[in-house]
Amino acid sequence: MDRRTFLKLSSASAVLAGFPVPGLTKTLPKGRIAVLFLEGGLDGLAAVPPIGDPMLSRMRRNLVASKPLKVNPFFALHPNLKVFAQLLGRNQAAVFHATNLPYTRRSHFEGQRIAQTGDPSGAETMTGWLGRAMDQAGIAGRALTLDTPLLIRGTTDIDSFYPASLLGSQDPDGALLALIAEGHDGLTARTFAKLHEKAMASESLPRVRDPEGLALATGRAMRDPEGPRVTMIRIPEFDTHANQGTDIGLHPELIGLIDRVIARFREGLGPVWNETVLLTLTEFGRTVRENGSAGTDHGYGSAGLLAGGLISRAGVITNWPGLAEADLWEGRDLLSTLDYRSVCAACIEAALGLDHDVIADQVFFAPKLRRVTPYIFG
Amino acid sequence: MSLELAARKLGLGFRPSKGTDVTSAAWIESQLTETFQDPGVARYGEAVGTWPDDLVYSLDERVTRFRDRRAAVKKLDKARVDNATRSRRMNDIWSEYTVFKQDLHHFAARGAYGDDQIRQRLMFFWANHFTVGRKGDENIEFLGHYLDVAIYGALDGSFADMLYGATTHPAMLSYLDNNVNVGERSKYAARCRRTGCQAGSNDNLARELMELHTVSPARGYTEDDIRGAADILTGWGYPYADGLPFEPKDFWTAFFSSRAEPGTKTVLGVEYPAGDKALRMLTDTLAADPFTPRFLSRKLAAHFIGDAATDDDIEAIHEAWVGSDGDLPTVHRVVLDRALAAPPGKFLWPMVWLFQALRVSGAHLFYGYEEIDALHETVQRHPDMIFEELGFDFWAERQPNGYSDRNEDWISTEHMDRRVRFAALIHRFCNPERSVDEIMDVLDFDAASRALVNRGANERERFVLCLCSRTFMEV
Repeated sequence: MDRRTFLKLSSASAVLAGFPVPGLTKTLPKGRIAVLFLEGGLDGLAAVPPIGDPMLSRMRRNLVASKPLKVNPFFALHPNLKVFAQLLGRNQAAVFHATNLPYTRRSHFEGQRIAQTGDPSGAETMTGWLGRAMDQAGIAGRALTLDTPLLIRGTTDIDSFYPASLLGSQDPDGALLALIAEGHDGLTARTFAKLHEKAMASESLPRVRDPEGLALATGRAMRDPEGPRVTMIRIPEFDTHANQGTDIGLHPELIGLIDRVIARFREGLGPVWNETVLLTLTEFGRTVRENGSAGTDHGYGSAGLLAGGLISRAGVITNWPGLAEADLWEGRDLLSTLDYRSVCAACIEAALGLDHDVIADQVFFAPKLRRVTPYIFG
Repeated sequence: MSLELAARKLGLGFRPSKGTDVTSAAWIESQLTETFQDPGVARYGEAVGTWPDDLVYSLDERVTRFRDRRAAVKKLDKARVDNATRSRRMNDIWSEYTVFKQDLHHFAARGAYGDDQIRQRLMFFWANHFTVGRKGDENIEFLGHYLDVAIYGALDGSFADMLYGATTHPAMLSYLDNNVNVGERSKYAARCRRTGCQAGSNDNLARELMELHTVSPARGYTEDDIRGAADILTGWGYPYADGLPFEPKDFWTAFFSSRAEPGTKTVLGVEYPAGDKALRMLTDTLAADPFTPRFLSRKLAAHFIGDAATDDDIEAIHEAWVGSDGDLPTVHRVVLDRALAAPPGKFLWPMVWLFQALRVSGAHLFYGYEEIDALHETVQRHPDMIFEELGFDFWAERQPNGYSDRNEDWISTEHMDRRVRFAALIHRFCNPERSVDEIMDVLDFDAASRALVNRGANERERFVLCLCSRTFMEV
């Protein structure tokens, strides 16, 4: 089976959330925010190689594309990020490098949990940072997936959407759903009640499931003035422990998929692209050195890619820690010199119009979180 | 509690006329000790018989088929044919050599008709604890064997045995990259440094072995401990791309000393010798570590009892574990006892709900084993597509931490939408033998639940209301 088929079969999913809900939504924020969750750990050094760092070629013989797209004398992009490179040229994209959430224990599950809760304290936080931001902005939500990702869980219930594809089944009848809801209480009752509302609204949402198709459909849905304000698109399989690939292979192809998802999302948004910011989110970076099986293991610092018309200053923003042995975290990982929650906070500030202090305090429980908004949003 | 309700709580429910008049305790005991025959249906609608022996595949046969498929694909890659021909031939190769669809049908038939219902629930739990997801085309051939032999086949032994078997099974070694985990100071790595090939360590399996399968992060291990465990794991697994002699019989025990890290290793303060004996010592030590039963008692309670699990429940499971050195039947007995006595409120996993819906209503959903390649009709009867639609599938690509045991992770509008759809589909196309009233009688629905179900406009609506009622979805 070739990789392309394999990727199509894989379990990418998208979430639409922050639909204005009658009676719940106060004033609508103007902007849109999209999170591209790169599950497994993006190799920031492969996506945005620091070609100007003389240690790069010493630490890595492979895994850095042979013909990267130069952004400035120090940084370049993987050649599969073509659209992203064009957006950089138009001041509609930016990169934060050597950054991650303050999480260093290298477990996927803990890492993904913290990337979604935004709470590195290790507490059993049951809501996600984007969900809390939506609560603060007064927009409830709806998710486009079979289950409800932690990232957008807030105190206000949200709703999922992932089109059924079951031969022989019919769309559930609204009155019947209302009856079912009566027999339940708590979350189950509320969930059936929402299903009932959806059936009564008889809306037509996209019936596709591949990431690019979902990105296009998501963009279209968000273009609607009454449409959702928030989306999360999940791309799994960044966990490239073996045969990661340099110019071609799994990781480069996934990087290309990021690029195509951004392109399709932009296409779907049309003019609303100008009011949108998209950011990537990943649980950790990968080891600086290649491991023994032509891959990389779990690391710390990675890169975050941002795109969207809300951005007004392009560039690679970083306090570069260096790649020499002594510069690495625990002698193996790219150091994170910026708490990525600052980047998330800046995107929330720009898209949902919340005050940085409110975001720091209420969304990330980190009152002293640094504000990086001026670096990209004018 | 009636036997019917006990079966719903601990198993997959009884089909009409399948119940027995033994006590719940005697029935549970028989589930833990007896052997059962695997059911099979040849074609949809035909009587239930046994699963045919020629559709049960040994590991050797699977390996041979896997090797032959790879060779056929390689040959096709070199052939000069147009894309349409290539795609058609690729499909032919897959249906000729692979057996995972047979495995899925086998699994579905067992879930729909098998008498070993508690054992199946235990298999679901352990298969989810030792999660092995699909890894492209690499391990799809071995997943069915993993479930049947490494997990189900190990239910009557100790945790330590199951741990070792699961860790070394080719499905796991492939899934968590251990078949490319090579010692940095091994002969193979030294040769690679001369010739430029790739070889070195990969800690993916070692990390999950400690974090997810045994002691959990609560144990407080370090990166050096993970490194040590990864070094012990070097050499394990069949590196089929390496041009080594391809011997099917090696597969579950494949250890290549030329790829193994030489010298002693240290994990959590214990020293391990070089060689293939160290892994069993390591898994035994991890199994015996006090943090393992602590972690697993909690996990078993969360799975079978849910939010209602008390500290007493967890303590009782823990005691049974420690007192029996992790003898699984002893542990299971206590888990099942405690679950039976616990108040309801555990939301059923989608797959368990579907099997229960089919069994308790006496319905038939899946194609038979002679219809594995049946063309799609108007009703979905292929198990692979059904499990995908459920969002719960042991053959799917998924993360090593497995499916969640939290109720709230399964209560989303789309999951509830699927239950409504499946319930309606079962009523319309799956010939349920029992009427709604009969189902409610058997499951002892209370007056309020009955009244609600009876508000349905017709028998189909009442059927959906019944299967999607709180009484049916929670145990």
